[in-house]
Amino acid sequence: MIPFRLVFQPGIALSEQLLYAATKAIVSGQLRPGDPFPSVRSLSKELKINPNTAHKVVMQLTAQGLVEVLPGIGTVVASSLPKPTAAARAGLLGSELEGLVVEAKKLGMQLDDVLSAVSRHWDRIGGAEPASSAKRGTQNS
Amino acid sequence: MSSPIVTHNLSKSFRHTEAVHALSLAVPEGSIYALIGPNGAGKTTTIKLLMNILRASSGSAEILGRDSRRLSPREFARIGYVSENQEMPEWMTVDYFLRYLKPFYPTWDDALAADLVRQFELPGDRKLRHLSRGMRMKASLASSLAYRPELVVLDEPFTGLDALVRDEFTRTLLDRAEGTTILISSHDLAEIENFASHVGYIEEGRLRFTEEMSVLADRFRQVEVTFDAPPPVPANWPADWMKPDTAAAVVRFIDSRFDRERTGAEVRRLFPTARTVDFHAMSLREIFVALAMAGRHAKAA
Amino acid sequence: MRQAIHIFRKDARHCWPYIAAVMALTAVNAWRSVHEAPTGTHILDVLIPFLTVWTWWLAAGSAVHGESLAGDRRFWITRPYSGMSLLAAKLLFLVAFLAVPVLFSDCVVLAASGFNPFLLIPGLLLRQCDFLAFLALPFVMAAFTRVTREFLVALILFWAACYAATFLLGPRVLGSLAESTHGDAPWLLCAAGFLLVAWHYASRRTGAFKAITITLGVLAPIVMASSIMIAGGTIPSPTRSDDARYRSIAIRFAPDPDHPNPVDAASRTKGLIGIPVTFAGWPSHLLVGQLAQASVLDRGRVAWSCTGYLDRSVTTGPDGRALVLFVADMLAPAGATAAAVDLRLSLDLHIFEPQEGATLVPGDGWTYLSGFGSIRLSEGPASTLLFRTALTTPRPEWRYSLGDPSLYPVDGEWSGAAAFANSPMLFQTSPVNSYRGTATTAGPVVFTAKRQVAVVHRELLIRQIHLADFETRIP
Repeated sequence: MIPFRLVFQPGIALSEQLLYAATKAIVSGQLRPGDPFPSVRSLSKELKINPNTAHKVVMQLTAQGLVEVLPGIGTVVASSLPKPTAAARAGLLGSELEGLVVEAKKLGMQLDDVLSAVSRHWDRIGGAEPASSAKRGTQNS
Repeated sequence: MSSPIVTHNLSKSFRHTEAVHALSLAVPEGSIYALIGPNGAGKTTTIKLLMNILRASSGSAEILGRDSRRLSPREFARIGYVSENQEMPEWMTVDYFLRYLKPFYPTWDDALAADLVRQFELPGDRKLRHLSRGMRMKASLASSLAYRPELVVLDEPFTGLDALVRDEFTRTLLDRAEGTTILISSHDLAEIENFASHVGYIEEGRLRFTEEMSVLADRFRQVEVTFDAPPPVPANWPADWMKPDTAAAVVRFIDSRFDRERTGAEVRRLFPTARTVDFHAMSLREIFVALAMAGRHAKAA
Repeated sequence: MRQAIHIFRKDARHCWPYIAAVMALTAVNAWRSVHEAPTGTHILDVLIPFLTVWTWWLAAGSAVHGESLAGDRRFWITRPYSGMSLLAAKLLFLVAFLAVPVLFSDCVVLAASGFNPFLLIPGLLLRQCDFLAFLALPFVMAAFTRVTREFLVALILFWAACYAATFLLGPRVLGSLAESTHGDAPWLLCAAGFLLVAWHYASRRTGAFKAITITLGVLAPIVMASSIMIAGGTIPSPTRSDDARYRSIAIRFAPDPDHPNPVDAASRTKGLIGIPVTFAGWPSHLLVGQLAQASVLDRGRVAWSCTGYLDRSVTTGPDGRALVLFVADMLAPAGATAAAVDLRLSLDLHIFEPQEGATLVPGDGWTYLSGFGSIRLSEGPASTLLFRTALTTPRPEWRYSLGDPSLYPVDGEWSGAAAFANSPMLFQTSPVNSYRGTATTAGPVVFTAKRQVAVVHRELLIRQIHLADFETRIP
């Protein structure tokens, strides 16, 4: 069982998509420190990808300190996760942001319009951290 | 690191047709090599030549370091072969079939065999002739993985299998894929796209290209150029760009040698009046269709 | 060789219906050989051997097809099969399930016919070689085909081709072909088939399967050697002997007014002359005479001559008197028989020595006479003399007589199944050859076997004889 949802899209390398999904799951807290992380073999089998690809991704996750391989136990989410900076989190949204920008430009929108629209959506959808949205507290037109 | 499969100008002619022509490829060790191509391109013939089921008209091939014409029991004990083109002893039950094969393979693992049977939910006491097509392929795969072969060769394994069976088949194959080299020929590109590491494209018996999957995926892009007014089609169409599709104010074509900067510059040069340019990555299936169509047009021309 | 046994066991498991059929038919054949009816042939005498041959062929084919050698969809060619083991497994199958039952059945039939199988081991083993060579044909056919259906078609086509060749080429061509190769033509055909299979393997497979070529190449000489041994070969005719023992054998002209020549009114023989003679120096029932030439002399030189009457040129009657028969018309112009002439008879006398004898009671079991065979009298009231040889046909120099040896006993002749000789297409299912002798009506019979030991030549000169006085008509 893969503890995060992943549907492959054509165009972006599988390894990138997997890395992205795994990182997001860990950073967002969907996977907590100490939780078991699928082995290379499991990933390969469940997602039907090349084990080398899975291996590459696990290596990268290990290098970033997000997962660790414990002898006798297997792969687990790292107990002490590096604190993700705001920039890092923004980086995780890279493709979404790029897509947003491209579509917005296609429609001929201006940056301010885009930011307002984002703000409207932000207020409408209930956040995981009500404290941070309360901190912003901006009203939008 | 030697390649488990290497061919040198492998050719095979049947009476008046040349099924395979001067094929030279190398399958890297540990890779999952997908052999793709249109129907009748010569994929099955190539695999049969590699397995010494057919004898080459000219050229040679080496399997696990040995001339394919001299494959001995020792090599076959390290090779798993699954093909819809191969018969199985119909009268044997699944259990007996595996029991019968065991002494042929020094590395046979009974526990693994039992595991595979369980995973595939194969009825051990049913005769092979009474199995559905999907079960038969699963049984064939189980009997070819139970001894942990170094090289697994699959010839159109997904033909006629429903989605669930294909899924099971793929999962089990990948479960055992570490440390193994896999050669798989298939029409089912969506299925193999995600796990193939290398691709060889065969058309009319010739190997058109062989490269890493990531490289292939990187160099093909569908380019979409939007205009304000119906665009002119330039006279000198670049060789790497496939035949364009024009509709209203949009021109679409496929670039088979995509490079973000170079292609971008080329587009701007040839379409100075372009409003927007979009590059879309292509799935293996889309790449295959484009290639096959180009091939057909080339033949007709 | 472990792999060979493993494959063999799999074949045994898979081909069990054929094995069962072979065992059943082998048992049936053994039973029928032992309990052979004294008189007449039955439809089953043809049907059961025919069925047995085809069952052997199908069994052999089914084993070979377990790992078919033809086609490119075979499951085993991408599996670690060793060519040697595969060949060994198939040969083991043929030996274990086809040849050994034949051997066992042979021993049973021989023992039940009064023979001692242990004394016949060399012959039995040679028969086994013959059998394995006979299996070469289905082996070759199975090698070229994929499934039983194709195999049957191939066999039938082969049979048909052989018959077609017989008709097209005719007995003369085939006869001279057989002569030039000493009767081995069918075996040469099989050998050619082996070579074809071998070439088929060599061109497709290297190394391991060369072993098959060598093995089949070894089979062919066995085939040829055995066909020479079993088919009877040439009959050695005893050379004329001047041995001292036989010098006293003489033949005399013995006309007896009290015993005129028999004239059978119903007989159709015309102009037949019978010269009465008696033999001395050897028991007359142990002599068989043949008239080489009868000559009429005119002043010491031959005027006319002829040979003896068919194959009964010297007949010995129950009273010990013999008649030398020839046809006068062939000896002299018509009318010449009335005159008195000088007649010279040139005779070959075949000398027999008595061998073992026995007193036979109707209904008793087989009595074995060493060197001769097994004999018994069937149950009464009209019992037939039955005779069996083991593994060979009876030697022509052996004959027999019934009755008191001192009382001019009746000479007997054999008739019956000199069964077909072994060839690549047929195999005799019984190890014994059965023959029937004369029938008798009364109880115990004294049987004496006799063996030809020599042949001597005698000349009898009769002066001034009226041939017309010695006309005879015999049935």
